[in-house]
Amino acid sequence: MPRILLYRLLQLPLILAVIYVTTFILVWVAPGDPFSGERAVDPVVEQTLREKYRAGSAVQFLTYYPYSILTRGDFGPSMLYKEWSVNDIVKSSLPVSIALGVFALAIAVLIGVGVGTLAAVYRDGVLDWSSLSISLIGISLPSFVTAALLLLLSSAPSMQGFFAVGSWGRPMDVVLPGLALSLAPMAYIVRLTRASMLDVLGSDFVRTARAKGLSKSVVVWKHCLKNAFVPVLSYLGPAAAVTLTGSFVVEKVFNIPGLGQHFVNSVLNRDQTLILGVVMVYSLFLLVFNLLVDVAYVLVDPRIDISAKGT
Amino acid sequence: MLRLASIPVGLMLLVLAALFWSGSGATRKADFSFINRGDIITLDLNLMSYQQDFRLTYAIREGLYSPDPVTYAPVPAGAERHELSPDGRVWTFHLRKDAKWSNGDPVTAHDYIFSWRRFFEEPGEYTYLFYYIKNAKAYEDSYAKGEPIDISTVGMQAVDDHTLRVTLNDPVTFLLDLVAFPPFYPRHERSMVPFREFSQREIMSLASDFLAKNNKQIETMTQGEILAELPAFAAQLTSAEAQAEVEKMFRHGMIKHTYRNEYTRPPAVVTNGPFNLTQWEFKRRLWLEKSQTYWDRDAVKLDTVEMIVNENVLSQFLQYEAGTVDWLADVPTDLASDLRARDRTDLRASKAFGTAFLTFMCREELPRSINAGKKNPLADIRVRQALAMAIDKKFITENVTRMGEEVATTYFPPGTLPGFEVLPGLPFDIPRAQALLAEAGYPNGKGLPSLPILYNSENPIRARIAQVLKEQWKKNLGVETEIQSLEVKIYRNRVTEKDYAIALVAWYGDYPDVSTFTDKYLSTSLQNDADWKNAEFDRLCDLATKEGDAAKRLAILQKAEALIDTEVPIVPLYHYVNCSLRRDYVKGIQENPRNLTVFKGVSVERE
Repeated sequence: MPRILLYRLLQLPLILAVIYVTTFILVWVAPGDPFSGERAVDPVVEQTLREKYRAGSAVQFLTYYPYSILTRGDFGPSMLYKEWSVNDIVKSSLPVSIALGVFALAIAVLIGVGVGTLAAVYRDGVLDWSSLSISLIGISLPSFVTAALLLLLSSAPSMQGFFAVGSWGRPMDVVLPGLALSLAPMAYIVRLTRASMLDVLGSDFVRTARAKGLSKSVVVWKHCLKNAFVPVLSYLGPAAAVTLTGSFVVEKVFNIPGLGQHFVNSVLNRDQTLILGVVMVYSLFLLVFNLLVDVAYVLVDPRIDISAKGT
Repeated sequence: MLRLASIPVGLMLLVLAALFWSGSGATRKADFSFINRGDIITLDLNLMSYQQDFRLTYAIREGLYSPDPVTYAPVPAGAERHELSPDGRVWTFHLRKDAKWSNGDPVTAHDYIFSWRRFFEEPGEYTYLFYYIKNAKAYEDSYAKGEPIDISTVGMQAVDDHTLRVTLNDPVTFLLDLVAFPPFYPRHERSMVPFREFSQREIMSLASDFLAKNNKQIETMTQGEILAELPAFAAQLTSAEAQAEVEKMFRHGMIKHTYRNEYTRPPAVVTNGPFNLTQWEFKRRLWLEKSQTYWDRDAVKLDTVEMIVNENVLSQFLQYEAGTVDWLADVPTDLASDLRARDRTDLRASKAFGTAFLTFMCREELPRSINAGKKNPLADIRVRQALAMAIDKKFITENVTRMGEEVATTYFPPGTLPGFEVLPGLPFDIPRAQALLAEAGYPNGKGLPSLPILYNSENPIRARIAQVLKEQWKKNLGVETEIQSLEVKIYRNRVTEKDYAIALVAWYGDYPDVSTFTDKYLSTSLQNDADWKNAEFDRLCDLATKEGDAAKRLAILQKAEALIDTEVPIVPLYHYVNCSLRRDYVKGIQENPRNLTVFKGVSVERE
């Protein structure tokens, strides 16, 4: 286990380097220009800007930025937001997305696992059917619909003063966007938990435990859930990376200064340095969370051996 | 059981922690809060070109002249008065002695020269506006080549600390409008020095060591102060090559450098306007406070101004409705027309200094991506006129834009510039259009290739206009077209590289003069994306430039404008309307074509 962990950690920089170069190539060959504005500019003006941003040629870019990232951790200035460096932007927006993401994930897991388990235990009951329909809606409704609905709800006269619209800064501001963000993963977790719980509930050890005289709730919440949680856990890795780095739609609708908006906007603006910055942050999150999930597997279920080949 | 319970409890704690962590930024309400057209792209005078950037700059900086809070005409600001030579070419500005930077330093003529010089040494989008100044272009070109001509030959001299003399190539009747425009505002060099980056890093680091030995810090010295030390520095260099290099720098007064744009951010930023920018939280807010060093501080009515960053139309509107903001400086047409239908009195709409039009490619051959090398039917003036006269523009303003826009037959928006009248352009006349098309050899559109109408996909109004055009040309002329929507960056590339046939575009004037419109279609203009070349038009514009009499000049430009409107390299569709939402208790903001805001005169008078 420690060996495989070390091995995976050593892989990390290599994978990140490959991602950096691949992204750079895509960014560089994409049509459109980071420095083109609403009007045509003199070639001299454009060249001046390119030199200033060390993007005169692919070689100039690649000899400057990777070196600056490795030695100083500096991703360089944003090509659109002239006053801000990529580091500034990530520093100011990532905590926002993380706070929102943690809130959304916690809610998704709490409610998702709870409802999923109950739905499995009271199979075909009212709860099961209603959770099925609600989670179906949760999965199929795109977040721009749910987010906009929540936004309109919050601006209803009876809600005035409770939720501030389009602002960020008070603890209450996280609630509605957090809910909007949590719906999809929550719905998915309900379905995952229910399915795997049903499997586990039918297994021999459950019957044995019940025969031994353990109460139903202990068996369900302690013995079964531990086993049923494994599929949820594999889903949580990538889901956490996605949720914590921010959602474009939810941030856009609620006007939240998070990282999510930059995933789409930086590409639309061809803000090459910012694109590379956010892609690297996202990749790092994805890789680290997948690693954490692998570690968590072992903690939840010691029978799992992540160093085994072909699993 | 305890261990089991710890998981949900832990998650709950995480939620609480997230709630509190995210709520760190306590906010207070400013005297006046508004939402700008978009987020600030940059506050660097060299690089700015968007309206939202200019709007904020008017609040924090000031030029020799600045827009009047009521009439928006240029009035003395940094300068008390000016004198003009009889030939209209030499302007002498007498600077106000009580004008101060936000750090208390006096604003001098050198600060203007320093700022203008930046535009030649590091050219930006608006450098061309400085070409009216004698030798400015020559200095820019020679500097780029590394052999700059003497800076003192450029037509901007500090006669003394408070007298600035500007010498022009031609009489520029609208110079006061230009100097009231942000690119002409002064900058405070010493506060920018910490952000300076030298191009010749090795030599300058040696210079830094040399100066340190003499108890001087290069990080605190202006370019002029460093230049003065260069001979002494060169003398002690051992390498002849380096010596020659430094001597050349001294001779040309040229230490190539740039500034990291952080110099425009608080707390480093030093400005000279009615407000100081004291806080800038990226993608959240910008906070302005009344300047205590501003010469006209008694006229400033607000103590604090907040620009809230919100780029979502729905949420912007809800913030306005909830009273979080007092003013939405720019309401998109979609929302505005809905509000107009509901008779909202706080929706302010007024004639803008801009026109929506479509542009034709006027080259003889069709461009690369559309049928390369084939003859371009749009090069024929009759085809262009036919297409122009077959458009029912009224239908567009009544059914698509719905803001009561004025239908346009001219490129220049009439009634936006006192003293300038436009001649009527081409009418909506289907029979004449059909006749012209037949005359050009395409009766009922026969033989005409199907050309694409290009527009940028993020603009929903343009998508609908493109559909209307396609339908009307088909119905009225039998002409087939295709609709092609492109992502904005690619669309702009295609238009500026003249790789299109028909495209939906727009133009807004920068300064209140006709030339800000007509210059676009000079055959030498970079902005002439129609590639329309007309010798008579060029001649008239040149004549106007040399004309010192304002009325005569406008009469010449009227003829030039009429050439565009009748030869139709572009077809004007409608003149824009500026839409904003403003509470009645906000005083001192008048609707004006250029959508200028003079924050100095704004006040909030709640009952």
